[in-house]
Amino acid sequence: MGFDAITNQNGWAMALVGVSIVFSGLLILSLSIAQLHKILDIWEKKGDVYKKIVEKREQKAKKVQAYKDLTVTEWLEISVKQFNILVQAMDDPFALPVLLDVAQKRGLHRPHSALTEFLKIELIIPDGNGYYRWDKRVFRNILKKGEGQ
Amino acid sequence: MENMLGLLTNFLTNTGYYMITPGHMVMMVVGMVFIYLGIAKHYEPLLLVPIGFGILVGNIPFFTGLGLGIYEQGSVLSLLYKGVTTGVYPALVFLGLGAMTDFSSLISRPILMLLGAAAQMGIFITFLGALALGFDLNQAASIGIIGGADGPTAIFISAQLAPNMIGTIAIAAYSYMALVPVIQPPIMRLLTTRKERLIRMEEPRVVSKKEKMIFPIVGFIICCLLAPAALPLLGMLFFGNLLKEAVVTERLAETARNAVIDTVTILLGVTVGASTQADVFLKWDSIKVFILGALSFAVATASGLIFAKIMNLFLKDKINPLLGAAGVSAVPDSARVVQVVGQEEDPTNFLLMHAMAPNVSGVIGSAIGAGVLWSFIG
Repeated sequence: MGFDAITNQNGWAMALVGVSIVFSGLLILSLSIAQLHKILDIWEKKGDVYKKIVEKREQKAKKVQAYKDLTVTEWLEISVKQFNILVQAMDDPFALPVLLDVAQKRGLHRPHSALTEFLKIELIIPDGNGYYRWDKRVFRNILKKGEGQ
Repeated sequence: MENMLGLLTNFLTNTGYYMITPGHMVMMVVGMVFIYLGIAKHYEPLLLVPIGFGILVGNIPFFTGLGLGIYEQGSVLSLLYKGVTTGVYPALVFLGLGAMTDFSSLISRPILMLLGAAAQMGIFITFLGALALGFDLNQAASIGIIGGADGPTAIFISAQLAPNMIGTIAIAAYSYMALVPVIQPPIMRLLTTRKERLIRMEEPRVVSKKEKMIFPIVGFIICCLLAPAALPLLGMLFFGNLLKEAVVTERLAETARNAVIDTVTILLGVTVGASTQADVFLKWDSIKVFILGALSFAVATASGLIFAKIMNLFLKDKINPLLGAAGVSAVPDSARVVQVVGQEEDPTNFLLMHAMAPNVSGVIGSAIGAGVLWSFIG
């Protein structure tokens, strides 16, 4: 009887460990359930992620193909070099109308056609905020291809 | 003539009127009180009416050897009682319970699950109390489960550890479960301030069907790996819930939450009631079990409330501490009590759906607690 009976039958330890196990069990369950909807969200959006990866790959393949198909004419090579000088003097990113304006003022040959071609071959790429960037890698490749042709 | 008189005397001495003892009469009154509470006061009528009638059945005196009594081999009652002693009925009750329960509130705010864990302190403190009062380990563990406020779990664990006490423990557990609306409110008012009782809970987020479907599988794996001894109860609980949420098994869920649980409740109630024969039930130990039962309910309620207040010290969005009282796994009675006590202060504060979270986690917690005690002792 009394506290001695509890001590003799190891009651204190059983109660303490028992309570801890119940708490741990429900705590683990609670933490797991709290993450469940987040995991499900990722799982449900897996289609979108896959779609984005495929789109990116296709874009890259298109770009490679466009570059392979590109014939670097004398006019294109000169235009690329001239525009490169203009772009270096401008802010990065730059506004396309400003570049066009500068090119016209400097008397560059067919600036509209040149910019359209640059956008097609992704020498000029939009930054998503209404401005554009000059892709130096594409610029170097064009020059290299021009030398090869 | 003498022969006829002998037959008549023999018949009269074989009747219950002749053999009835004051103990039988006391138990019959207890049975009638249960029936009265169930019908007139609406206290757990689905349980108290079958148990009350079972007490009447079990306390009709008869000649032993006729194969009538619940403790006589081969009698109809003893065959039905096997569902209790083997733990079949409690497991089937859990199946039906799982098929009835919506775990949305718990999934939307899993932190409330900790209140269900805190309320299980009742089990372990009662376990210690029972040891202190001279019960052996098996009996103390069985009595402790009364603190989980979970009738089927109490019966299940008593059947495994202390079969001679099933009737007493079941009657104590169900009596106090029925008296949840009477026992809990004073403790809730005592341990909370008006300001705390007025706390409004944030609207729970909408839970997707997929989450509800995955929950029983995740819950089952986590809980049963931790306490495999709780497998018969938690396995059935989560399986029943999966049947409910899977949609395609709606027919099975419908059967589990209606036909199965109703049939089992009738059989469980009547046989548990019938097991309380005066000579088995009216003992000093039964009174001690009832005292410990009352203590366990009070401790479980207080533990939940106090733990909710402790959680509020760390939480940015405070929880209404009344929810802690719902950690006592009397589903859905203690959640309803939280709603009633909360609305006494503010009739526009709806706490019921929030209280269901600790309430159902209390069911899981008490089953884990039972499994843990069983594995320690069994």
